[in-house]
Amino acid sequence: MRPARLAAIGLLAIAAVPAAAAGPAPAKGCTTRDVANGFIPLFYEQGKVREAYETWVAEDYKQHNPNATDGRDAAIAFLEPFYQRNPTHKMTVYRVLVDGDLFAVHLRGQTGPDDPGAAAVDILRVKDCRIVEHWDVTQRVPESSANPNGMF
Amino acid sequence: MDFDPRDTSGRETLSARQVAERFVELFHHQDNVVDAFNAWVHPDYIQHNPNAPSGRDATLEVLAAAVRNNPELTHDVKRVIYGEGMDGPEGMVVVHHNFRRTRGERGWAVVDIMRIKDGYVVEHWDVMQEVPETAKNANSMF
Repeated sequence: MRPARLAAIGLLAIAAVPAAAAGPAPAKGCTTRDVANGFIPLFYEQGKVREAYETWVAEDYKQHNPNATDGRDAAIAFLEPFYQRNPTHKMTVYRVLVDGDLFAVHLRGQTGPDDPGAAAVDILRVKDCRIVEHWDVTQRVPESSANPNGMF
Repeated sequence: MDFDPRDTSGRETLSARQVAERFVELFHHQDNVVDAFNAWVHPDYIQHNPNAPSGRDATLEVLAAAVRNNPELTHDVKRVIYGEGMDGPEGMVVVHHNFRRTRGERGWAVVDIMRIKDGYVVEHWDVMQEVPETAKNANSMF
């Protein structure tokens, strides 16, 4: 195949996958993994709460975390100031599973490098290129353990 | 159900998904932790739950005691998420469930994560959170 045609096919392939950076995400044509690949780096790794949520989360996002109300705006209103008040807060993603319209993220959140932190699993449901529903389970990492393997 | 979850005779021919289905059927759906562990968990199972020692037998001792002390103990499965490659011999599975020791309690929200390899459950992580009495939304934790 001629180089120009290969390059054109390459560009079409790239254009079909939503970019992980700024700008609105498409309204359809995403796989669940596309959404995971867009949301995870922005939110968990870079802590860009507003950008991650406004790009990848539906406004009427259904919330199952008992400490939060429904909706994207409520989530941003809680998370954004939390990150601003805790600039050393960090999340580490250990594993991601993607299956049908769900993806699961196993992670640790720490307020700073000396904090053993909390373990969490976030489960997110995707529809039309947006996260529409969120469940989670969170547990503080205890000081001691019956095994030497760590929680992660 | 078109399989016998206790039948391990074809273990080496099973995919990771099939092993996960059998383990989850016994452990989570039938609340039969002893049969689930004896059939499907590798003796060298790596445990990441901070309340249990590593290894199948050590973990089973803790779980079997919990079942003996709590005859109504139950796992109510809400969703199962399979990782990639589960049609091959190795993969990961997530089980989101409500664990209760007695029928009447709210219990815990739990996510179990298991790595399956060559016909066995070989590694386990989990996160557990007590279900609170009240919540800021009406959707339940599940």
